[in-house]
Amino acid sequence: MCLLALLARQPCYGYEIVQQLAQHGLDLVSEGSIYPLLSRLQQHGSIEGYLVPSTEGPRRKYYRLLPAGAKQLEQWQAEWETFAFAVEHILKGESSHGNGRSTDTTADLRPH
Amino acid sequence: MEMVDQQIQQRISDLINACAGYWELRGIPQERRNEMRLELEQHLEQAVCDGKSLEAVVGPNPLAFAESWAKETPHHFSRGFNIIIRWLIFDWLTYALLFLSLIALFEHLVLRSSSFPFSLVHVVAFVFIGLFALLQTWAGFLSPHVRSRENRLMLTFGIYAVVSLLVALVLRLTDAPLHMVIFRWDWPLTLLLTVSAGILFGLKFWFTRGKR
Repeated sequence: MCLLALLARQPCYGYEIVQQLAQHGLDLVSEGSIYPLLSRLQQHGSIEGYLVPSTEGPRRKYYRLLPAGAKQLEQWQAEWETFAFAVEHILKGESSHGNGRSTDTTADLRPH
Repeated sequence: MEMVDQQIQQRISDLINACAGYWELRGIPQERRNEMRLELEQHLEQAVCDGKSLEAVVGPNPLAFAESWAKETPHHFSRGFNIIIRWLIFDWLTYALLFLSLIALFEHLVLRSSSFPFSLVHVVAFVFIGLFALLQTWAGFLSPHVRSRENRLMLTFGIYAVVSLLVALVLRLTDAPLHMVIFRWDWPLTLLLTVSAGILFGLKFWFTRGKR
């Protein structure tokens, strides 16, 4: 999802993607693990690779997001937001217990 | 500084060649392989310039990295099978025939024997030759961990020597009939084998040159 989100902003090449992920605090176990993922996304039709000529040396392969990838990103983003909201809600609920309120975990069933 | 750069360049080159050889074996189309070779080379060079190690890119197990990419890339088993057949003929069989023709020539010319006894020990030697050729091909996977090419070749030779000695020891302890003659042949066939080995070497050289 993060990879698609980066490519949604602008086309990137492999090393650039790894650098940008690292800048946002996401370090890969090994940088090369980006390539099997890029290959899989290409097979699914979410992204496409294209070669860009360079005046400094051999051509470099860039990746860009395809419409199917944009759709997939939208779906994943919605799922993530739902998940993140639920987790945040639970965590906020637990931290409010530790802030002086009752530690009794049984539900209050008294009619109000 | 230039020596260090050259050494790193050599390690990158050997690593990429090992990966590319593995992808070829997995039946990945040449165009796709060449693209990935270029990507990986550029990534490794940039990573090294930024002070990172080769291991930071391909992980502690470069073979696992090569396999992980191959798994996600369309490949054809038949292509890989053709590569295996080509390796068996141009690498293993070439060296095996050369080895066989040399010892047969020794038998005829030095020991003055009219016939050459092909025995079980020669079959075992053929297996060892195959193992050696395979280890040499994949020595590049050691690049992230072993800095110099000479050390990598020595290490693969060391592995080969240990395995060979262990097998030889087991065969000796189990009293395997290594000198059991399977068949014999006379000097005309030895000459034919020598010529065949020469032709295969020539084809291997021509084929390798064409690939470059």
